[in-house]
Amino acid sequence: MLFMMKNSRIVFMLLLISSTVYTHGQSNGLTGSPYSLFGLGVQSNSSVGRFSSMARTGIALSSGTQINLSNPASFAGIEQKRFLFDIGGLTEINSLSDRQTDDERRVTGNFSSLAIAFSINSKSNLGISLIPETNVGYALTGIETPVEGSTETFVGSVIGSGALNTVAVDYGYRLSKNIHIGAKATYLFGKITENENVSTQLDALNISEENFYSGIKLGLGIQTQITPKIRLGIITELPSTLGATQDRNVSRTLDSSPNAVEIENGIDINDFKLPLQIGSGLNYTFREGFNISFDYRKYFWNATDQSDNVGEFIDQDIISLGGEFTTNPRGLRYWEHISFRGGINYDTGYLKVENTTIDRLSASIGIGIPVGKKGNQINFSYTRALRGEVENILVQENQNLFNINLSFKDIWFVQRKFN
Amino acid sequence: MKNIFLYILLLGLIISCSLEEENRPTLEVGSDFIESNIRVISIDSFQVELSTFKFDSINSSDTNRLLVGRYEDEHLGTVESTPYFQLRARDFDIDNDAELDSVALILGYDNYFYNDTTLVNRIDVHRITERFQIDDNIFYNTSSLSYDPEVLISRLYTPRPIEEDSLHISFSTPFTQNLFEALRDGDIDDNDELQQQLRGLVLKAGDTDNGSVIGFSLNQDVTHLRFYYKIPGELDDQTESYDLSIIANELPYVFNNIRSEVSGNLTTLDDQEINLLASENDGISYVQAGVGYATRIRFPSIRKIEELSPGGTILNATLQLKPVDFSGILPLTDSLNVSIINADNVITEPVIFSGLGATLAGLDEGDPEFNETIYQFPVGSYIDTKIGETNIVDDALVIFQREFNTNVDRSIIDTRTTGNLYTKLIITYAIYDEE
Repeated sequence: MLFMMKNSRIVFMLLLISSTVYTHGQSNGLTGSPYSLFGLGVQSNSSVGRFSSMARTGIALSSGTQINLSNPASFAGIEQKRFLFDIGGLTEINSLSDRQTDDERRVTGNFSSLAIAFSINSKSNLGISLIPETNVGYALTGIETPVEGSTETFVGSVIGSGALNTVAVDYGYRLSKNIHIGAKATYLFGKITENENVSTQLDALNISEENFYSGIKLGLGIQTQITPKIRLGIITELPSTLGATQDRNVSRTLDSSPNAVEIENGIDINDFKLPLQIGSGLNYTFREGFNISFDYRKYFWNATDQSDNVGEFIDQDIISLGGEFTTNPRGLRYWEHISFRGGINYDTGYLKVENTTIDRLSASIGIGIPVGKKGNQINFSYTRALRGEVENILVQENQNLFNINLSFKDIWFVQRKFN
Repeated sequence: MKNIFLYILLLGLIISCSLEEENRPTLEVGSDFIESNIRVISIDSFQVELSTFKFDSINSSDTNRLLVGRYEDEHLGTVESTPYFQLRARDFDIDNDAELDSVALILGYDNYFYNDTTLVNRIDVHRITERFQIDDNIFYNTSSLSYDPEVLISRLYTPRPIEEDSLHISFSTPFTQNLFEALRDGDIDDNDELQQQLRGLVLKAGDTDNGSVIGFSLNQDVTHLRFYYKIPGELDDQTESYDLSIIANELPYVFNNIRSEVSGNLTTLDDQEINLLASENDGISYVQAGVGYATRIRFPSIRKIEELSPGGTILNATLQLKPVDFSGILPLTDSLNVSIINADNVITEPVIFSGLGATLAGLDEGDPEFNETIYQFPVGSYIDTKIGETNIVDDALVIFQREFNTNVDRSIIDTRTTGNLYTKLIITYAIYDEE
């Protein structure tokens, strides 16, 4: 804490985060996936640093040069007196296909993440991050449904938007040179809005629901250097419950004039339960600047015993493989510092609709371009993902994700002395 | 290094702002796997209870026409209208030498007619024998004034309400001769003195007429008692005229007595509070201007709609009323007034409003060949009120003719279920919260 008092720039960063929290709560454009209709939306594709280009593999990786939110223990790897900063943006281009309609394209994009990390003392480091957990952005229009008892139909639309955001504090502690541990507290909060409208030729009903969720989850992690080349990481996130309230506004037309039916605020609605998560990762370093990692995560959704209108929540497994190659991190030539990354990720999905699980397969490539002083990078990544399948009523989503992250590090506290 | 952070912040802001604008997709793929939480139901099985009642009296002083004639209606008995009116003069200047040539009662058609105008009507003109006055200065459709049973002049005519401008009744009688001389000689030199001599005229239809009811204008340019006279010795022997006409006055000066001779069920309706249920009258209810029949409409079972689901709401309620037994000579008016009445059939809300303005029961003629003519109007607000009432108010909707006091138009509403279009209440109900 003493360091914060001393360093106005950290205070400034916190202010920046808190102000971004505000704007972030308002912007909803991070996904266009119809699957975000379910639960609290689709898991965010936002990521920090190099990890989106490595298919989000990183449980065993250190936060040494770039912030890694996969494992709180990674923060222990930040060198003393370092300050790391990361800001990211994400654009998604999704195309959707089902069995009847022509393919459709949806483009969404936004600022996506903000994270800082800094050392507190010789053994421990702290990270603060703001990143969406899930995103909701669907618009299903032109849903024609028969009016019961009539030959007419009414046209419905459902438009959802919102995000569940997280502010996380990661604490990493160097137990020994080879054993790092960490803990993480995450505050989740967000507003998910669903606007459902039906209209017949003359009449309309509009239901606007704003669901507010908030809660805290806790996580633990450990990373150990088993051999000089092999590093192991294990994480867990404990189950938690997000409290929820709803503001609901129902309005209609009656005799062709607008008319409120009910306006109710602060309605208690079902809490949303987040499952226990465990994960482990293995990293193999061939040489400095060249390594591959393998992660496995499991989310115990079954135990939350939740279901949605159409689907139910089922246990979710995610496996991912990612690697990074830098020609020569210590080289003298610029191009030797450029990092090339890639990875694949398979996610079984947590939602089962009509006996089909909505899985997702993605592959990523990316490049990290050094800028300015040593160690600063702009990371670009491209991920292509397929979610769901064209079967029954389901749709297949073909995602193209473009991430850009600016990852900077600074020997901040040292520099201050020379100022 | 400071500059770099500044740069980052700027970039961050640029990224967040440039992409801030929502690019919300609105597409159709995926629309299958959302099952709408909302059900919309159309229900037309709620009971519509119609009954006929008769307004005790209708203000008839406030008329803009003389309504005269008698016809026999298949449903509503013998309908007869008898106008009473005063005649006044604009001036009393007639040359002392004037010699009366002829007199005519000229009645200008105002284009209104009801029933068959090819049939011959009779008009008997009588003199009113009592003062043209009434308490509160309002004559009703039930009002009358005593008149001399002796017919001044009688005329048989075939009405030409559209084709001709006026009906010309020759009125050269000893009475008009005397009246003219009194006017010429100054024995009558103001309207009060005129009233002493001529309190007013009554136009009676023939007692056995079954013809048509005809509207004549009050306009003094087309309707008047006209004296044609000559002044001997004038160069070109020109005929001049002098008019007595229906001149607006602060006190009542004209009204129509409109009545009907009914038989059967309708005879029970001798008080405004009495209702004749359509279900007890062969499924029929009536609306008739002039005489004062109106149709009372209730929805006795409407509150059962709540049993469908508590989390529901009405989006639309349209009432359709099926008119029957109308024709070219007994036309339907293109709209009817809609009001709310209390248990005693007294109007409590003269006008109900919708998003489209004041509600009228509009006539939708559809395809006449397929018998598609129907009155319909929105009643959503009323229905919604009825459903939401914690203390049930015994009120009802009522429909009656517009221009209720100046014509004898009628509509016969049939509640029986026949064909596609019949009298029914169509409710569009949305259930949005089935828990």
